[in-house]
Order: sequence, then C-alpha cells, then structure tokens
Amino acid sequence: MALAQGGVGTEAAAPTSPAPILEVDDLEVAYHVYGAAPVRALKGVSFRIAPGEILGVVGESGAGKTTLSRAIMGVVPAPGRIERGRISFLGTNLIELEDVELTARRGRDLSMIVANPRGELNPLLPIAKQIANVAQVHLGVAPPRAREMALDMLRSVAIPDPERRMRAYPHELSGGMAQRVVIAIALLCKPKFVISDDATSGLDVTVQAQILELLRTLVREKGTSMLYITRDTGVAANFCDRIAIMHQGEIVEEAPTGDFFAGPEHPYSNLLLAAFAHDPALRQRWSAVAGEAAPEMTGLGCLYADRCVRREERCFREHPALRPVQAARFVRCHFPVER
Amino acid sequence: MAILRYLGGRLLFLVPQMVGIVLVGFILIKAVPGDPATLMLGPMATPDSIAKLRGDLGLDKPVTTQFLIYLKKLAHGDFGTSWQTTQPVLEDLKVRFPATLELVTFGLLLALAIGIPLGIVSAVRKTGFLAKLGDSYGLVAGALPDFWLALILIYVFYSVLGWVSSPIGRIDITMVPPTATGFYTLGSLLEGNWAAFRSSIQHLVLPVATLGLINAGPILKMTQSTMQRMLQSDFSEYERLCGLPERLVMRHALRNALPSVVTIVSVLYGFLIGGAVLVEIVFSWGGAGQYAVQGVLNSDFNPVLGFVIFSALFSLVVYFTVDLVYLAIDPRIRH
Amino acid sequence: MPPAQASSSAAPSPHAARRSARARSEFALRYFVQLLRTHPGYAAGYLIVVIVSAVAVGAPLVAPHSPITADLSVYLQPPSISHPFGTDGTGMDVFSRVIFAPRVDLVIAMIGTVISAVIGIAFGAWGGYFHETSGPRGFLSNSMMRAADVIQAFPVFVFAIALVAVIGQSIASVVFAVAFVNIPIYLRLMRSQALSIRRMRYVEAAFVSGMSDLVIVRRHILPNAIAPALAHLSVNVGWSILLTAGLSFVGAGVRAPTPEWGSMIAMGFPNVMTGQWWPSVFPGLALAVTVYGFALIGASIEFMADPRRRRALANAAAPAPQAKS
Repeated sequence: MALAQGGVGTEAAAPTSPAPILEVDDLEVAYHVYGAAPVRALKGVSFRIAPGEILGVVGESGAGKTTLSRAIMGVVPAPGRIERGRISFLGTNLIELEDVELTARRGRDLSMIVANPRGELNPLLPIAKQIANVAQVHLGVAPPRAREMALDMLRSVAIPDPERRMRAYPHELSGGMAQRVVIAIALLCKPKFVISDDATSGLDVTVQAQILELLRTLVREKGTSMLYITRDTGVAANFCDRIAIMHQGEIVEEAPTGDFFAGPEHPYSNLLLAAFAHDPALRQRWSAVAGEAAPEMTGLGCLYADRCVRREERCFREHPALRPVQAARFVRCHFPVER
Repeated sequence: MAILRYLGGRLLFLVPQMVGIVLVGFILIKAVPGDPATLMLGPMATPDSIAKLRGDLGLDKPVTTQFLIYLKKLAHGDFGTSWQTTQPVLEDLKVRFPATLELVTFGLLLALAIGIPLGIVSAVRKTGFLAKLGDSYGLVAGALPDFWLALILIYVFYSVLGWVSSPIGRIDITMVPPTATGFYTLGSLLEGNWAAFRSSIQHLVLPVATLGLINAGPILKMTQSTMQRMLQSDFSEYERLCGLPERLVMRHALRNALPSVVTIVSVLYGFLIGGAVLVEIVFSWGGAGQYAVQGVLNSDFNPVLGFVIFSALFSLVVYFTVDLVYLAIDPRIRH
Repeated sequence: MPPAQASSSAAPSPHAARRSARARSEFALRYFVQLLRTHPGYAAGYLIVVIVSAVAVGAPLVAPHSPITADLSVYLQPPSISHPFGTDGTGMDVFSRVIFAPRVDLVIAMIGTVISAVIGIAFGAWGGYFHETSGPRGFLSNSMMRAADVIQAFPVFVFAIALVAVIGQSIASVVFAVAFVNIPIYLRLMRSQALSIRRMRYVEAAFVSGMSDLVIVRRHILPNAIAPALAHLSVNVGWSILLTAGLSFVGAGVRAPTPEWGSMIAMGFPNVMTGQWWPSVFPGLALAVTVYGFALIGASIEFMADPRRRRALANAAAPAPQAKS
C-alpha cells in the first residue's frame, strides 16, 4: 500500500536506521458537511519520523497542517473523520485504539504544544495546578510531589520567579510566559514525541527566538522527536532536520533541510521561498495567474496545477505520486525543478 | 483596595435606588381607588367619623406631603399600620417575611438538588433517557402553573394517599409555634421541640415540593447550556489533548459553569419572595407575598409598601452577596 | 478545521442576489422541516398551538354546552359522556368552559405580549443607541434604564395586581398589566443588542453620510438587533397566559362567570380537598399544555437561531457511523 503510493519505505532509507517513532501511512481525513461533498482535509499523507528527529511541516493556511496534528493526537473535531490510513506510534496503530487507551498515551507518550496558550489554559485554575494535574494523572504521583515537579518544569522552561508564578492564573501571564507553561505541560512526562502546532507564530520576534532556543535545548537534550508545524520557512530552516511541504492536504515535497534550501524541486516550494525573499522578480518568476488556461477541471490532475508556472497538459490529467528523487528526498511533481 | 471601593460605590447607589422604588410604589398605591378610612370603619360609618379618620391618617393632605411624611417615618423604622390586622406593618412582616424566606429557601434547595444533577447529565450525555428528560423538564416545569401543581400535590398526597397531614399553614394548629427565630424549623430545633419540628417539616413538604419541582426547570436549563458550552470550550479541548480523563474535564467544566448557576439562583431567589405568593395562598402559609396581595385587594397601603421595600432590599442584598461570591470563584474579576 | 473554500470573487449580479435570497429562504425552510423531523417534540409544540388557536376560534361549534349557563341540578358531577370533564360547583360544564377559556387567555396574552414587545423594542433600540451620549437624549436613555430597573425590582405579581386595581378590573386592564410588566424584558434585550451594533462600521458609515439618527435606528439598528427579542415572543406569550391565570386565581383578573382557566382552578379549589378534582385539574391541564406548546415553539426558534446547533443538526442528517475522531 505505502509502496504503491510511492511514499515512504523505499531503499532510500538507510538500512541500519532504527525503527521510526512515528509512521503515518496514507492518512485521509474528511469533514462531512450537510448538503455538500465531504471536504478532504488530508488526502493520503505519508511520512515517518526517526527517533530524535525534528520534521518541519510547512504550508499555507488551509493546507491541512492542524488537521494532521489533531489526527495524530486522535482529536479530530466532528464532523471530521479519519477515513483511512495508519498512524503507527512505536509500533501501535493509534487509529485502532480505544478512546481510553488513547487518552492514557496522550500527554504522556506523545504530546502537543498548542498556539494561543492563554485561550487554551483553564482560566480558573492556577498554572501550577494545571501542570500538576498532568503529572498526577499520567505519572500517578501524589499532589505534593506533583507540585514539586511543576515547579521544576517551570524552572526548566526558564520562567522568571517560578515560586511566585506558580499561583498565577493564565490571564495574568504574558503570551511568552503562557507559551512556556504550555511547553512545560507538553514535556512534563518526557514524551518520546512532541507536536508543535504553530506554537510560536503569535509571539513577538524576540520572544519567538527565545522560545525556539528553549525548545531546541529541551528537545535535543532528551532526544525527543518532533513534528514542527509552521508557516514560516525561515524558522523551519533553522530548527528542523527535515522539511515537508504541504499543499491542499498532500505532501508535495520532503527533503533534509540543507538539501531543501539549497534547491527546492517542487514549484510550490519555490513559490513559498520566493514569497519570503525580498525579491519581487523572484516571486514573479514562480507565480502563475490562477484560473488561466485550465482545461476541464476533472479533479484528477495535480492539485497545484492551477497556480503552477511549470504546468503542462499532463498535469491536469494525471495526479502525480510522491516519488523519491534522491536519498531521503521525495517530490510530488511531473516536472520537478532539476538541481 | 479597589475591590472595597467598588463595593462601597455599589452600596452608596442602593439609597437612591431604594428611594426610587418607594416612590414608584407610593404613587402606584395612591392610584389604587378605594378609601382606607371607609373600608376600615365599615358600611355603617357616618361621614363625620370617616372624615375624622382620614384626618388622623393624614389622608387629607396633598400626596407629596404624604410621601414625605412616609419617608420620615420610614427613616425611624415606622412602616405604618395595617388596618386589616391592626398591627404595625413591621411587626406583621417580622412574622411573615421569615415564613416566606423559609419556604423559598427550602424550595430553592430542592430545586438545586433536582436541577443541577439533571442539568449536568443531560449536558454530558446527548442520548438516553436522562438526557431526554433533562431537555423536556425545563419546558414542562416552566409551563406548569405553580398554584395548580400545588393543588394536584394536595389532591394526590393528602386527599387520596393521606401521606401528609393537613395542607394548611406552617404547623399543626394545636401546637405552639417556636418563637426563637421566625423560622419554624430552626426555631423548634433550637428549642428542642421535636414535635413542633416534625410538624413544621410535614407542613413544608408539599409547598416546598411545588416550588422545588417548578424552579428546578430554569436551574436545569442554565446548568445544561453552560455545561455544554464549557465542555466544548477551548480549555476543555486542551485538557483532553493533555490526556486528562473525561471525568476530570467534566469537573473542571462544572467549576467554570458555576458563575452562571449562581446568577440564576440569585435571580430566582429575589423573584420568589414575591413570586411564591400563589403557593402561599393555596397552602394558607401566612407569608409576606400573601400579605401584600391582600393589601392591594383591600386598599390597605402600608402592608404593600412595606412588603415592596422588604423584598427590594432583600433582592439588593442577594445581588450584593452574589457579587462577593463571584469575586471568590472567578480570579479574572479581581483585576 | 476544513480548508478554506475558494470563494467566487466576482460581484453578484442583481439576479444572483435575488436568487441567493430565495435560495437562502429555501435552505431555511429545508432546515425547518429537517428540525421538525428530527425533533418531533418541537413539531408537537406547533401542533398544540395550532389546535388551541383553532379551538379558541371555533369554540361555539365544538362545545357541547354553554360555558356560562349554570344548572344546579347537575353540580359537581364526575366526568361522563354528556360532561366529558364533569361539572363544577355551580353546575357549569367544565369541558365547554375549558374550550371557551382560550378565547380570553390567548387574546390577553397575545395582545399584551405584542404591546410590550412593540414598546420595549422601540424604546430599547432608541435607548441603546443613545446610551451614555451627551445631551438630552443620552439623559433620557439613562433615565429610561433606571426606570426599567425600578420596575423590575418590584415583585412582578404584586405589581400586576396593583395595576389592575388602579385601572379597575376588566379584560383591558389585565392586558395592560401583562403588557406593562413585560416591557422591561424587551427593553433590555433590544438595548444590549443595540449597544453592540452601534459600534459596527456600517452604522458609523451611515452616520458620517449624514443619515439622521431616527433613520439609522430604524434601518440599521432595529433589523439587526431584533432577533433575540423576536425569539422571546413565543415564550413570553406562554408566560403571559400563566400570569393571567394567576391574576384570575386571586380574583384580580378575569371575573366569573367568564370562562378563564385560572379562575376555574380557583373556583374548584375548595372541591379538591373533598375529592372532586375535575373542576380544577382539567383547566390546569389545558393551561399547562398550551403554555408548553408556546414554550416548545420558543425553543425551536432558539435552536434555529443558533448557528452551531443548526450545523450539527444538518450534519446529523447525513447518516454515517461515527468513527473515532
């Protein structure tokens, strides 16, 4: 199945690499809305993350990044449903687990750092209590010990004056501090795998830099694997080992960071990088006018064909598969940019 | 502290509010036709005696003067006299207001005991018998006339089943009511009078059941809708994301839903002081609302005004207390 | 969340606009039918109100006996074929009286509700718009709210009785009392909506373009703020019926022998203790069922006004087994 899709699992992977922490295989998630066709948010996504690896997922709004993170954590909101696929975490298929078993793992073995932390924390509980709750539930420790652990975590995420801040409520914290609290909660149980869903986008640039530095330290130290979702290619370049570009529910390119930024091969990746460069000519080169010269939209072709500068007639007829082009590098395109 | 200043400001605002209430009440009462003097002396009275009584009562002075006289007496704690009971209104209310308070308090407690659990269950479970019951309960309870439900309960439990002794009054006629407080339950407990205690409880059963069953409706609806909102909120989703078990998420959601429940209870409390009057009438409870209604129907002004003042003051005290409760439970307000 | 759909960028032609308005009302109608199908309770509410209204209108055709003729030879008879609900203490047929009563109760409640809604909505919109502005209109707005506070601080029932006593007991005075005590509710509902709407850009734009305040309130504030108040109408009618019945129960409402559910319950009150339950129970049952019907309609309106529940209803209509999500 996975091999037929041309995704992961080819000889491109080094034969001596350890088993992946997370292996997503042909994941499809659709939202069923009354009176319309189901909206496919994820259309057969496949990738794997090795132990200690940070995979960056970059894409624009609506590409399916958040749906991906929620699907892995098992909290896709209704009316969304996982239609098919496998999410294999440490060998177990998360999709087949009962709710109770999934809840036990969530927060303990795999966790998520959310964006907008002040909106997500419970407004009526002091932050120490919220951290301690996680410790009590997942690690079974008594409340006094849980408070100690909460204090330790607050120190490790570099919150100033942690003893006093313990009793603070979420609305009394700044955005940066609340983000640190949420990181503390995510890392408390020393999970093997953490998802960061756009965790730094709402912050000031300087605060963002600090948070990233913090994450890098904590994650690298423990050898935690990470799925780092962002819209900012620059941050991804700095922080991640590998990059995956998402577009309309598909992965269109996946490569080691260095290789990717040396020369992206998918036209969309080039468009993304051009958008961040301060070079209008570059942007012009990679932007096609949408909606022009589209023969019948059969829905069978490449999803990017409409905006692609390199499109040909074949692109509208035939949906490209994610093919390996080099060692550990994949592109979903009929006419990738040659490097 | 800023909190004290805020509360102090609220207290200060009470005075003009109360004056306004008394003013409107006074105007309203004076507009009700019917001459108290004539009513007091009866149909055989001579015009002279009526005129003399009117002079004594001050009814011959202009309305504004009457109002000012009333205010002055009020400031001294004199609420006037009821010509029906021939007692000072303050004394009458000292007996009747606790009667209503006792009834309404127990009624609300029962309503809470029914409404909150049902509200939680129907918010958590979308299907099943209890959920459907919760959905309909609010609507049905809101549609039942309270005086009619009281009659039904009397018929079933007194006339047919005989489980309850007389549905009249607060205590057995043969017994001496406790005088320690105005509350028969508390008073008889304090005096150690078990017979009076049992009797007062027995007499409370049906009217409390009436009020409780009906007022559980709004409490249930508020609990249900707030719980649902809290369970779907961002912070509840986040707690699930952290792997917290659902019952812990529910406990936190309930905690967050508390302010709304407190609000509805306070509104009901203030409303029921006057709103329980029909139940009081059915059970001949001798409560304050009944007292006021008889006053209006018989052009007996002072009881009505006295009752209005008492009940308005009570509402204001309740709202004030509720604000203190909010300060205690919601840390966001303290800023 | 589902990815954003590509939206059409072209400005809609007049044809498209009209079509879309019609399509919207069609869609709304489909939602409504769907709602009634999945929630038969709400459908029952509409049915109840329709039946009661029909009975009120066609009472003379349906009632077997006259509602006000007393025949002492048949007093306090239990339910039978000729008297389905029995007879009361003066020998009047309970069934016929129960059938005729909605003429009084419904009329009082509906007229009272409409009056209070019209006044409350008009003044609420005005008051909300001018809240805390300087000048005489701001002052009037604030005074109005203080007046509403004072009225609402009064025990409702005592206030209503006093109003009836002031004007003199009659059906008109009961209507007045019912309308008066309900005004503050609509006042507040409209005012809070108006307060938030007046901050919207399009109101600012209208103001800057020189539109007079009156026109702004009428054309912009009113239509957009009115939804919660309208949703409250049905529930309010039910509650007004209860108030009317309560007033009649204490003798301050509709006078005997006019058939009215509340006064019927009062008349049958002494009989209940001695075991003749029918003169009081049946009118109360009719009363409760009618108010229940109005409450159901109100609940269905509330349901349809809530976009989230509408969506959930629509999605529930698409049958599919819920996988782990």
